Amino acid sequence: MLELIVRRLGTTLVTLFLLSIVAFILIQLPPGDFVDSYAGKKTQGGVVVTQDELDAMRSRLGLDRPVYQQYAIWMGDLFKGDMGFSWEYHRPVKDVIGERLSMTLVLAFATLIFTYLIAIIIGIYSAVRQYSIGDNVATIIGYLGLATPGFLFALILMFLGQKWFGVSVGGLFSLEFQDAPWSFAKLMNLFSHLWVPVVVLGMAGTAFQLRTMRATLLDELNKMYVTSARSGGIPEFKLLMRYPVRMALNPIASTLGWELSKIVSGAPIIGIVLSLPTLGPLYINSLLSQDMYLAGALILIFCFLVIFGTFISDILLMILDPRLRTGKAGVK
Amino acid sequence: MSTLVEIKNLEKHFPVGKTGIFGKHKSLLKAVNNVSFTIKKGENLGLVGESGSGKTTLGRTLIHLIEPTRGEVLFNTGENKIDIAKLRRGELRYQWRNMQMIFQDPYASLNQRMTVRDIIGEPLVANKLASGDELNEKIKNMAVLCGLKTSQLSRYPHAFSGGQRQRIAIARALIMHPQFIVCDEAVSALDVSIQAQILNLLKDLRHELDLTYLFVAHDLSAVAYACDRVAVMYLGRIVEMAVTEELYYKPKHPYTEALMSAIPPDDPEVTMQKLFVQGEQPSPVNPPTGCPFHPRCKFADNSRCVKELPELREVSPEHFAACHYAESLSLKGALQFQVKQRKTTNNKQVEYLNTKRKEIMAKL
Amino acid sequence: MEKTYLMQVKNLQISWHLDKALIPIVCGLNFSLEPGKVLALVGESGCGKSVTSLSLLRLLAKELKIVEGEILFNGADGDKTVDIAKLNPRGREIQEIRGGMASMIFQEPMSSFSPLYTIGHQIMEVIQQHKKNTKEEARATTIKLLQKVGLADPEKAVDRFPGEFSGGMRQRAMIAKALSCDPQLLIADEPTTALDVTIQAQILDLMNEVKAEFGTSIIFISHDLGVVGQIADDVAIMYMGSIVEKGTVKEIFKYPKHPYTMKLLDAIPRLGNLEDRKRLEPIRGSVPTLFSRPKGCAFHDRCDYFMKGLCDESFPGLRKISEDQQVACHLYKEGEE
Ligand SMILES: Nc1ncnc2c1ncn2[C@@H]1O[C@H](COP(=O)(O)OP(=O)(O)OP(=O)(O)O)[C@@H](O)[C@H]1O
Ligand SMILES: Nc1ncnc2c1ncn2[C@@H]1O[C@H](COP(=O)(O)OP(=O)(O)O)[C@@H](O)[C@H]1O
Ligand code: SF4
Ligand code: SF4
Ligand SMILES: [Mg+2]
Ligand SMILES: [Mg+2]
Repeated sequence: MLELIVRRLGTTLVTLFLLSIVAFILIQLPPGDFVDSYAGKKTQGGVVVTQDELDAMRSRLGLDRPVYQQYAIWMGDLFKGDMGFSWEYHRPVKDVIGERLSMTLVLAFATLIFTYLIAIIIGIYSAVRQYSIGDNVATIIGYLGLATPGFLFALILMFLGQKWFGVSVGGLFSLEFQDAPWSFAKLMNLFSHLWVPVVVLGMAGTAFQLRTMRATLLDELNKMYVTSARSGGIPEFKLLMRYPVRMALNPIASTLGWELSKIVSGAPIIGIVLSLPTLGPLYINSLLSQDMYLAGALILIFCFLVIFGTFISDILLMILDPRLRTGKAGVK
Repeated sequence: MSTLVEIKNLEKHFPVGKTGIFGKHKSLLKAVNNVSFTIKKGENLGLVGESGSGKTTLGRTLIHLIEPTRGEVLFNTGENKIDIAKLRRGELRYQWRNMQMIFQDPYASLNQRMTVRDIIGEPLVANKLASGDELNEKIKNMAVLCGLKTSQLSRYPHAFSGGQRQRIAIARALIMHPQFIVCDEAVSALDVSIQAQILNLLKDLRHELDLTYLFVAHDLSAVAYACDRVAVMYLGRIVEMAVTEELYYKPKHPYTEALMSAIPPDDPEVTMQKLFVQGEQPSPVNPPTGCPFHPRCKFADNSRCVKELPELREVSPEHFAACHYAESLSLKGALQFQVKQRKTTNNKQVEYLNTKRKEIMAKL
Repeated sequence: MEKTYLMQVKNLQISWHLDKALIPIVCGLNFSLEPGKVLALVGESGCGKSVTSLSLLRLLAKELKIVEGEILFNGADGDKTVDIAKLNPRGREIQEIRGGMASMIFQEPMSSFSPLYTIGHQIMEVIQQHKKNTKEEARATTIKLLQKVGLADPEKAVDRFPGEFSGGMRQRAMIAKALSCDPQLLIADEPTTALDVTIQAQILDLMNEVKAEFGTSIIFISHDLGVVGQIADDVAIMYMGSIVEKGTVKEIFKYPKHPYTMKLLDAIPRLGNLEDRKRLEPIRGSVPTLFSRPKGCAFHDRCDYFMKGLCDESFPGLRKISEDQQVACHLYKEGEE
């Protein structure tokens, strides 16, 4: 098992390296560069910028060098722990990302936990009580959850929150805590705000995983090995948890990485709508202004999250399914 | 009888096991291992053996449904001999008119969205061999020959029972008038009463249409009933082959004897003898050295059987066996294990019931 | 003297609840099993063998329900008779019987163990459920059981996953699991159907040993008459959910009385007289579907002795024609052979 984990770590690193190249190419793809978009903004503000100035700026930023050199410099700095400089914010990328990164992580993992907890519990209930009222309600909510775009849901929640409770559901903190140092009260305040983006972000994923859980479990419940275990006199709840449910967790666990990537990619738009202090809005800005190093760093972080999710899901699968652990599957 | 198919050194290997770093498979599974035999024109040749011995793979490789690893399959078309194993797709498709396969599962092998008429006629349509009235006529004739009613032709397969579905599959396989049919467990999934119907049908069709069968099955009694000659497979090799009565009553290979000893007797008063073979067929990935049967063979010695592979050879006229000691062993056949034979329904009871029926009917 | 029964099934009726409709699958089954005996239920596929066997331990799928009848079980201590048909299928009482006093073996050895736990774990779980054993004790018992059923190297086998076993080995393990709490009743639903003849012979041997050594009563379900002849004392032939003929193995095999039984025996290819191989005598037509159950005698559309106005009108109940034989056919009258 340890060997498998080490091997997975190796492939993770390789993937990350390849992705960094892809990321770099991607942010180079749109026509023009930061200098162009900078010039555009200045011109709009009525300032005249000469071509000489622009060229000087390009060479200062290294934008006049060939692409592979730019990449090499970026990579070299990355290995030293330097993520580069954000031209837009005139600060090191590290500082710009700063606290937003931890907020993003908190949000992503809270959403993930929410998604899986709800999906598994309601999925089990729905399968065991198939066609009951509860199951039908869960199915309808599930369909709605799948069909409603996240940002729309966010807007609805904001509107309702404002109208009925007179509170703003945007952001992650109330005004008085926005710049306050960390304290227990601030943490509590975070949690009281967190549920809105968590629900909005996790809604579609929860609905999807719930349906998967229900369908797989329904399948498993009819399998011979369940009847066989039941014929040994194992009590129903124990039987349910140890036999079919454990089997039905497999497909859910294997999509964990994918789920995380959907949460991460869904975050920017919802982040803007709910004005969250996360990386999402930053990411969209950096792409618009072609703030290369910032965008590159963010893409890398997102990719890392996704790969990390896949890694976790692989480990989970190995824990859940001995056939993967021992590599002895399919022996006749 | 002339030879229809001559199989020479046929092999089929499957790569198995985890792939290494360079995508190479760690080991080879020799599902069919250096098999040579002939199939005579007009015969029904049985192929038996335990699960995993390679029966299905041999049947499929033989008509090139799957690519053989090496070897020749010479098919005598009447005019010339064609090596089926070397044919490419296009020529193969042409030759497949001559050879067809019938599968075990009549559910899976029929397209559920087509009517029975279209299913049976499809090979003719696909090969542009008939159309219009001629097509309809051919379909009708074949359906009737296979025991289907013409009124059933416009229905869909799901409306048929297992036995009827097998009839449809047979009609479809026969519509191009092939000479050679591989029946892979064609009656295994059917109930006894239906199995008898299909066995009879196959028998009638063989005489009517001059067919040759390779009849793959694991039910030794059905094979004994249906086949003229039988080949026994073990771990990818043919270990014995002879005329049915010879093979069942006077086997020359210890494995065949073991199989015979395992058939439950027809008569409940005859108790089965202690089985002549223990353990299970080993994995074909690393077969035993020497004679593949030696770990389970009660006649095995420690020298020849362990070291030297016995070739399939003619030990008496038309009787082939792959055992070093085939001539000297005295082995028991099916009849020695089945001392008494169950009578078929006693006719007295039938008569008695018929008179009784008349009496009751008269009273009604 | 009144015979003592381990299990007695009276007028058992099981239906499939399809939307609002009730489709009968098992129609009024009666049989009883004496201690230490083997009763075989024989019939073609779909005649209700598995449904019957599952119902005996209340293991039926949700959509199948026992609509009437009693399943009297005398296995409990102190000669207490329980009617299994009245128990809650999810309740404690039936759970104590399952795997304890009565256990079951299934047809598909490939799918009757969860692939996620070792064989040993799944057997130990049953032992610990019924006996107050520690893990070590349960493990020791399991190893002994695996040895008894003839698995090579039981100390290692106990920690193997089902995926590492062949079909025959899994069926042995399944028998070990079923025997783990010394049951009085073993229900075996086609335990050898999925196996090769050689392995089938080994498993039959094993079951005969079990019967001799522990005196376990067995309900043995099969469609293979040859196999049944080797293990059963009594045989009940089923057709479309009811028993058409019942008797000792010898009576049924040698002197079949019901037209269906007679035909069934004729349809089997047999090994004798290969030289003058005759045509087989199939039963014409095919088994009707559940939705088109014939009125009266369910076999009447395939029967050679069909009597219009009688067979298609009234259902023939089982009648006793001799000490050991009962037939459900209008051709016979109570007490006359
Ligand atoms: N596509 C494949 N890849 C790898 N191994 C295969 C493949 N097909 C068959 N085998 C292996 O080849 C061997 C022979 O298989 P085959 O299906 O021919 O056996 P069989 O005698 O027909 O068995 P059965 O009685 O179960 O139908 C088996 O060990 C099987 O697992
Ligand atoms: N869960 C189920 N729902 C509906 N019909 C069923 C179910 N289980 C079995 N049946 C039907 O009941 C009949 C008897 O089935 P079964 O007892 O499995 O037959 P067998 O005698 O082959 O074991 C068959 O027609 C089968 O299709
Ligand atoms: S060669 Fe030896 S091991 Fe093989 S079957 Fe003959 S006697 Fe047995
Ligand atoms: S009751 Fe009538 S139809 Fe049924 S088996 Fe007897 S004779 Fe045949
Ligand atoms: Mg096969
Ligand atoms: Mg069944």
